Amino acid sequence: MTNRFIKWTSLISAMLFISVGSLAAAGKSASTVADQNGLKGDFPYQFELGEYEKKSGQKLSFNENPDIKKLNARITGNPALQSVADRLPEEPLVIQPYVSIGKYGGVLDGVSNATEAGTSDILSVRHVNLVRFSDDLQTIVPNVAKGWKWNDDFTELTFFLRKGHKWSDGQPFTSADIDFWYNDLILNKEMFKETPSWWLFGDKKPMEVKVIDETTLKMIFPIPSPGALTKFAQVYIQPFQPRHFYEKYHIKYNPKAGEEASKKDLKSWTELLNQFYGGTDWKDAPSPLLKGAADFVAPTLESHVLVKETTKGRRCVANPYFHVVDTAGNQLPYINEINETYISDKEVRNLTITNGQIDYKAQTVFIEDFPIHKEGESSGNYKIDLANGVGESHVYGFNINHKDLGLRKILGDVRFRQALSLAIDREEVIEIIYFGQAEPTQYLPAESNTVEFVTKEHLATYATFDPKEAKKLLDEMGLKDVDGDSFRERKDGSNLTLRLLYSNQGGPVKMHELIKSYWDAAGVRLDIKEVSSDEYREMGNNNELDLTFWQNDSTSGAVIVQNTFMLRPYFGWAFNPGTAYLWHEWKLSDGKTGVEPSEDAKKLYTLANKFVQYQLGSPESNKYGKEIVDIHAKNLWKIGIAGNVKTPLIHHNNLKNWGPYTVKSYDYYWAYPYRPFQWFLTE
Amino acid sequence: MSASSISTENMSTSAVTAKESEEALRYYSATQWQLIWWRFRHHKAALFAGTVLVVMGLCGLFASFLSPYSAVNRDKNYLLGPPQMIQFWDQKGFSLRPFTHGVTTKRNPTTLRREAKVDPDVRRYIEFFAHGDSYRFLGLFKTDIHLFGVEEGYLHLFGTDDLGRDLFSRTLFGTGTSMSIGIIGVVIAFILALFIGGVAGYAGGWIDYTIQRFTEIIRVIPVIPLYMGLAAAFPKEWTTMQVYFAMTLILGLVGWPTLARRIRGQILSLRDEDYVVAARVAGAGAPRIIGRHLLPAFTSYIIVDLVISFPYMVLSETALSFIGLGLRPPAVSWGVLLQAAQSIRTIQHAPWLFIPAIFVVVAVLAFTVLGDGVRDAADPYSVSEG
Repeated sequence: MTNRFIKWTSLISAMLFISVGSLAAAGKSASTVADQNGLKGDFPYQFELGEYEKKSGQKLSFNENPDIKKLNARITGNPALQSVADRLPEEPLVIQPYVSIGKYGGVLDGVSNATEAGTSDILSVRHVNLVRFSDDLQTIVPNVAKGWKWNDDFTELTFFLRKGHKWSDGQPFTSADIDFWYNDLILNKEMFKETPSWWLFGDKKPMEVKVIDETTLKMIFPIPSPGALTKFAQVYIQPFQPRHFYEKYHIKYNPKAGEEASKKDLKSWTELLNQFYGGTDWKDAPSPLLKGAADFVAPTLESHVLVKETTKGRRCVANPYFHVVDTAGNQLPYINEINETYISDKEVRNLTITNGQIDYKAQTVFIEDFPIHKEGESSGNYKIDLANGVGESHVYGFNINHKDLGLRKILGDVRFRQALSLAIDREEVIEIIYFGQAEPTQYLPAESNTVEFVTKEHLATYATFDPKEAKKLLDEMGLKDVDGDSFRERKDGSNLTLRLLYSNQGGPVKMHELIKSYWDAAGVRLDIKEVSSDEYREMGNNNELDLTFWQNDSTSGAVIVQNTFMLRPYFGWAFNPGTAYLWHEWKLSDGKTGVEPSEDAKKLYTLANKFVQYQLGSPESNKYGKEIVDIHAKNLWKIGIAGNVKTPLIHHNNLKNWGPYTVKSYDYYWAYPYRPFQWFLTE
Repeated sequence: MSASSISTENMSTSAVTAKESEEALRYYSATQWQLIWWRFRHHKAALFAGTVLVVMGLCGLFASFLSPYSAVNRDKNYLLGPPQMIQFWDQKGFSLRPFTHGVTTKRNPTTLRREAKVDPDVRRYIEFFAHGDSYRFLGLFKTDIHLFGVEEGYLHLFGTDDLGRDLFSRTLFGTGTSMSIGIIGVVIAFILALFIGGVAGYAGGWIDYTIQRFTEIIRVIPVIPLYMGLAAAFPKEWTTMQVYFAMTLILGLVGWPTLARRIRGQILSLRDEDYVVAARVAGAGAPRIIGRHLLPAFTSYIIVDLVISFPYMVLSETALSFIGLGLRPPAVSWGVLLQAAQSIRTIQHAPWLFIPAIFVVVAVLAFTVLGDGVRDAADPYSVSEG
């Protein structure tokens, strides 16, 4: 029955497509995601110009934003504009808008916490990179790069750029700009004393960036690194910098760069260069303190160009050289301006949302505020959606390499960790902390929605609520209440207290109060105390914590395919301290210092190094991935509370072409997969 | 009858009735403390404020007995629930025993808001001396008797927070913490002031000069940055209990200068009085002269100062905890409770979380009114119109 039904409907829709497609060819309606007009790109919802013209049988003529001259005039130092066809690359990217061809104009209002605090969400609205994750978060699609090619063993990645692609100041963008970024900035010892680990591969070796010609560039990796392409799809760092702009500040191209810097009262050329570059694309504005800062703006390839930066907010205007057009030939973006305001108080930010002043916000919108936002929907004329929050759940870790040997033995006993996991009533935590929008789940270093090798059994390991079994396990370990205060003592009768130092940024204090009540009931005394994030990280990185607590970050498929740090000891990174520092020290020192890891932990090093050498989803990747999570589930070094956590995000009803924003995650860089450049505003 | 009217009548030569002379006799033979009390009694507002404070203090002291639940007991079926009303009648009729209706909260599937649902069919009768969470009564013996409670389910006079903890109980525990911080802080400040001010005033000369300059230094330090610095300096491995004691200590350590100045000034003006000189000639030592002869002469000032500095201590704790510098959960104090209430969510959906604020306001007002009354009464020898 069903089969026949599907056949019939597909036949009808195919007929519809043919008829509508012929209409499009007649120029009456353009192809969109909602109504493709029979046009399907090689990559989801997008085409190269040649591909589009061939498939639609129609030659695209280009249109521009009627305000573009006015906007261009606001970009510091930009020359007068050529025609739109001359500004676009020879082969622009053609995209199908989600719902309809948009309307130019309008200001997108956003809100962030402060300069460099909670701003990545709004940065992602204008972000571009060589490639992009499509909205399924699986398919990698072209963006700045027209295409790419791997060699057979994933050691050489060739990128093909768009001929005639231009920076936001009209200067050509070529492979030399990628070469400049890596060889002259990232690898320059004066810029970075230590090369950022993001850009090292295998045994901390750099890749080799080789210019083939103006639009072709090869990256050669020391080990198979299929995750590198993923990196260029999800990372906020842009692997290209405007060489023509930085040449005058860089010592290699301008021997007098040092004098330039001292003219501006700066110590060195790197300091001056960093006023614009700032080490990443995070700080993409000249420091307002710099002498003559207003004379410059660093050119960009993003959809919007920064024109004003103050301590109160940022303002960006549409990039007149942006390389994307819609299926009707209109140059994107549709939206004239981005107006980002900084408000550090969460409650005030909440008010701006309920008042309907914000067009889009995902980062730092919390489930606890969902009820007030939901009730304000109609008066504020916005909509609040629940998306999958990858990395929005929370994890407790046990310091199995504790400096206190007695505690190390207890925390290192898997029964102890199993018992404390069983003692937690996850259903109740989910009801109170996650407002019922999650499922009880054990921690694994691979987010189950983003990889294929995590099974239901993995997720259910010791994730049930079984206080009896918990007490039994603790009794078995010989941890008994000797002095009758209802708390267990260590085997030698001395006090057993776990101290949880937590930072507010890691998660809500209510969570710890709940966990304390469960563990107290099991007879394990927990002391909780708040510290600052810096203190937490410092103590964590110095192996001074009993327990770690942080968001479940850096475990999505997109991250673990590039980085092994969550998969093998010490199970963490600088911002999210781990729990096995001495094991890792042993490994790094070839057994000279530190503590010898358990056999399972040793295996993880080998497995993790193999895992990152295969493409995510390939049989080998799944095989090694499964072995890794098997070991983690068996050892339970960290315990998780919830999975499939739903978390809210907000978009104004005037914001159109809103895509299927189904995953809200920093790991996939917020809005970037959902193509904010085709959003438009009504009114 | 006031002192002035008695004395004027005595001075007149008209006949004095037996009753009046008896009263006059009482007046002249009364001790200083009796006189203070007699006069204070006339200040009705202060008397009332004093009563309120005593009640609050007792509430804090006996919090574990007076509150139906412990500060961490969670009613899992009633999260973020509004206060319950105590009733004597409902649709089923009148009951001599007070009761509340059964309540639960349920999440609205659309707004995800917790909404309270009253079940009028269920009556929960209030019982006195009910068994509940066990605790150590004043740290002496273990018991589980609470002043009141309900047989089945829970009773929440002030509603619950989002973990389902009884706000009434938590407010009582918070009262204990906040008031004790005030009291201990004032006592520490008082002892310091007595010693420092006493030494400065009695010794005089360069000692006095040094102490005075030191006092000035302490006084000019802006308080909030000082607290911030000290709060950051607390060792990380301290428990919340130790932080609590450290906070009282700090509040006391910076609270002494005003009182020390006053004591020093008084001693300075009195130390050359004849009776002090007489004591000194008789061979009394400095501590005895200060303690036995000088201090009693201006006890009233000290009392007034102490009473007035209480609310500052309490407010300091509340303010520091509110901005996150003072006590932090799981400690319970007025400041901690109010900090949890500072969100739009609370204003719109759970206004009962502000109930602890009423306690703060009442306590501070009561202290102020009490201070007013004590100031009038503290110097019973002064002549007033009353």
